Amino acid sequence: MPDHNIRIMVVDDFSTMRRIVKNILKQLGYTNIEEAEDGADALSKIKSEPFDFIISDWNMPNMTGLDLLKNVRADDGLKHIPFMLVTAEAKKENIVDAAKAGVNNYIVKPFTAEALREKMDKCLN
Amino acid sequence: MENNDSVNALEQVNQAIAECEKHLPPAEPLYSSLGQLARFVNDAMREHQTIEGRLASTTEQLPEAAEQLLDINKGMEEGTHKVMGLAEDLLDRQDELEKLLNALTAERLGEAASLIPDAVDPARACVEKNKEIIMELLTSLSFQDLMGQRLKKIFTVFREVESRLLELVVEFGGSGATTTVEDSAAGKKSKDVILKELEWSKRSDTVDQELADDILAQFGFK
Repeated sequence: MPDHNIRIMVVDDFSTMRRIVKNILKQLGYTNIEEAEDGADALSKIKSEPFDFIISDWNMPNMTGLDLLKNVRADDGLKHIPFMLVTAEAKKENIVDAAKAGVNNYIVKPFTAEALREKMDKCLN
Repeated sequence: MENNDSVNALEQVNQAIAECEKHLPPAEPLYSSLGQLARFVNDAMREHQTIEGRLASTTEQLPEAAEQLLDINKGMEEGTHKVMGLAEDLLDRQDELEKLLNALTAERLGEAASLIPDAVDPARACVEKNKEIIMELLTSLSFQDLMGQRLKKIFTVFREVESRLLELVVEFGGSGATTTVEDSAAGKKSKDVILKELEWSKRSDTVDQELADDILAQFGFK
């Protein structure tokens, strides 16, 4: 049973998508959620406050989700944080790049609440 | 109006050559060739003027079209947030209803406890189903994100085309072509890369979740 008190960072440049992910997480019992509108914004917040899980879009201005992942994995203080990419960038090479960069899971848009729950459970268990 | 002067001058040359041709023997090859050349240059200049006019007109219309795209994107986002707000209200009400139903315990109902299986349980199941539907409604709104990303890419291509057209207008000269060439909105990405991404976004050759899971499994993911 995953810990529902964990602090989750949701990163997406589309406010509607952040709201969707937040609503699903709320229904799954997660309420401690913060948002960032791109990778650079997220990295700044993650470095200044502790987070237990990152859910990020891939295609964003300023810093992509993949670059955010690489930055997180390259930082000794952050590299332990489970990282899930939620994205429409579903080319095989994208998934391979994400896997090589150290992603914990990868979910293809559009997705269902059940799919997100299943992936989160796999990451957190 | 340099181009008009050039065209007028060429027309005069053309007429002069035609006049000369009248007074020359019909088989004179040099004047005949010169005449054809002059007419070719004349036609080319006229064609250039037409294209230049279209180019300038297109360059003026592109920013407006790009703004329209941004407005569509903004409208879609606002509409989506409105629907989300209503769905969230419904979810909250369903949560409240669920709490009320859960409070109807056998102890509190006393003699009416026998009503629980017949009335309360179906009501609970109905609330649960409602919540599922509302969540599906909410997640379906991710179309705004997917379509919005495609619109943003189209917008970037528009900006790139606008920039290229402005370069052409500035380079070849045109009426009122005083605008400087802006840096492309694409910035770090070339037009080709953006167009390729746009093709990807049609998802014709993209993978679904099942295939994504298979690829991840090859990297040791469960």
